[in-house]
Amino acid sequence: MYQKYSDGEITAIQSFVILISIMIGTGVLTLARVVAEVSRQDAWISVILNGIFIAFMMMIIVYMISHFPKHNFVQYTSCLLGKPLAYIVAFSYVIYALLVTATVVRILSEMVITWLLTNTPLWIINLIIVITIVYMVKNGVTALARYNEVIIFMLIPFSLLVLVGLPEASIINLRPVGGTGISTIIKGAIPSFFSYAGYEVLLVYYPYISDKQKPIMRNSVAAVLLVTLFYTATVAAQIALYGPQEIQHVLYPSITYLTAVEFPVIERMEIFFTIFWVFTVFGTAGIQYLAGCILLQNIFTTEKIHLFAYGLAPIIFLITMLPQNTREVVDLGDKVGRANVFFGLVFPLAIFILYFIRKESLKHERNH
Amino acid sequence: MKGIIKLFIIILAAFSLTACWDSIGLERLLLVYGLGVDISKENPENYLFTIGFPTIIEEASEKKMQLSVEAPSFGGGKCNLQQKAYRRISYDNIKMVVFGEDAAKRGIQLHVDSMYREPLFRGSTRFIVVEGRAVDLLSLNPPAALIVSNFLHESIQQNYESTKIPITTLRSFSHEYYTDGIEPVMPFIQYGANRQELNLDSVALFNKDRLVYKLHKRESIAFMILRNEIHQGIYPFDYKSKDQNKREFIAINIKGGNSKIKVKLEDTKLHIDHNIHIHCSLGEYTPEERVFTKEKLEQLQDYIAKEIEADLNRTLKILQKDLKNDNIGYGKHVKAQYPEYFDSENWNEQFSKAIIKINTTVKIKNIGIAQ
Repeated sequence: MYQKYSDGEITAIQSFVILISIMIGTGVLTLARVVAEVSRQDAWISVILNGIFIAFMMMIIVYMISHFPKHNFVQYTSCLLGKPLAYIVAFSYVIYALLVTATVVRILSEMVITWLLTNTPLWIINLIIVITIVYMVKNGVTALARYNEVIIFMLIPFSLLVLVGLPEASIINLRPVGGTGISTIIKGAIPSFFSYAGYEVLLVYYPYISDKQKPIMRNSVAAVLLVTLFYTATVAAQIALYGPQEIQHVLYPSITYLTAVEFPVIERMEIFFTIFWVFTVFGTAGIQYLAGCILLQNIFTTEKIHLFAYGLAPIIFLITMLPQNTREVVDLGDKVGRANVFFGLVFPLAIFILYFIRKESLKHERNH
Repeated sequence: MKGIIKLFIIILAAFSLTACWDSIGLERLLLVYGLGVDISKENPENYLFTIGFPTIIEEASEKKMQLSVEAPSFGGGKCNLQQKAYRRISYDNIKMVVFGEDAAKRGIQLHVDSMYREPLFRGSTRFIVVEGRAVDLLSLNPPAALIVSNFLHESIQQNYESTKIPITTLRSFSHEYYTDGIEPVMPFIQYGANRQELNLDSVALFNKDRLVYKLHKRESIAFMILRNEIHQGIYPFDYKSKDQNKREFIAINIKGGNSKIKVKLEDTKLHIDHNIHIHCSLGEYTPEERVFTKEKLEQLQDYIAKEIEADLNRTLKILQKDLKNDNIGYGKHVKAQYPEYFDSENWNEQFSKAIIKINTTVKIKNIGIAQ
């Protein structure tokens, strides 16, 4: 339901929840391993550094777009970049959002096939996930925000799963702290950057926040820092359990971590991880997919969003079927991750700089 | 019209709930509780894989069964086992993997890879080595359980809590295999006077994935203390009293303890100070003199500390000088403290040259209800 812009569609709290939900997704599965491949036992420090950097980027994003409270993505990028370039960027973002959605869906289905439904055909799982996501987003951002408001509470038991492996963990696996050197720790922040991918979606959703007088910047930075805390605890716990050498051999440390300890009654603790994680990933995919649909709505200035939600679904489904094995899924994720560098880093910085350059002329245009 | 479409989609999605492809009734599964790995007698290049499982069928003449097949590795063994089985084999419930002594000496990583790679193979599955062949152990009829794996699972837990043997799981073995600065260990089972008795008071020491030595009885307890696995259990000693003709005994009930390892590098020589503290209660004291005096208690604590230290040093000498194999994990501390000195390729050699000093203190918290 596209309402008049001045009414908005989500609250400030819902924007906070959306940010957390989109960042915690498929990246958490392999985060400890990919970062430990570079910065070994100091992987948790790399995650913290990256989180601080992303928080800084978030401040830049919110500061910049808060000066365009009544403009949607296409409108304020047109002000800053000019219309032709703005439309090119918007279309590119749509393609990026579709690729991210398809990648997330495919990673989710890979996990389901590996751990739960080993014999079910891939297309069935992909189809069900895509149908569910379409259903979640077809009514617009308000319904999706409410979904995320509900599932955010799952992050509490999800976070507590970090404690499961601690009886077997050993602090000595985290030592020497800082032993890999500052340059290696900074290099380790690069793979962890992709686990935060999605925060740039605020560029699309900010215009739809109804109560912009609330401290959006504080909420957004808090969302990033909360995710950073969660990721740091997860990575530190997993490295304390596995050690920097063994973790290289574990493809999905976040799940395997939960099989390390025996529990009475509950034999498969990873079931709980899967339950909480699946809902979170649906949120991630839904938010990214809706971002693509909203941008198309902005470009074509239509009222209905569900046309795009239904229309793009077959494209998403086909992309999810393209990778033939786990390796190709990872490669797709890497390529999409590189695109995130543009939309998450380069683009916000570019328009931020342009805003400062064109600040006076924009003021002049507004007054006239 | 919209409602009909929504209903259609819900019905379509609901079909997925029937899990048409993946649902299997329990009655169609063969749940394996124990896996044994031996070297094949007929073809020593291959291995003999044995699984033990309950039959679960009411009409079956046997409540449990075993199947054995030959294969070059566990992956091949799984394939061959399925051909012999009357149901689909599920390895997700394996509690115990038993390696025969010879198979352990040859190397076990070959088989561990298949277990580690399988998503549903529990990381908490326990590993043990048995004297002789695993197939003989799995065919035993234990006194207190149907399946020997369940019996062993409980026995290992009990002996671990008595500070006699470590618990080694798939995950902990893999950790010690892949991590520099420590070598793996496993509990080692020996048969008693008759083949129905099982003794779990030995530790199998590995170098990478090969069994190289076994520690028994007091050495095993000392090893557990060196590994900082001080839980409970009874630790007996001979006591040299004033009357040299009479043999006296002391025993302590271990209540807990801790150990701290400090590493120092002095003039390129590695010094390791291993401070161990044990607190206990007095479980046995046969000399006639009363023990319930401050001086006597302190004297006893010192005596017990020296005896324990002697055991620890004897065990350490086996690891350090005889085997040159760091199963205790000193290397992890050296790597943490002096990463530039630590040589991951030659740590065992560095370990053999280190100067290790063990300092033991014992605190007797109570002496029971007799003086």
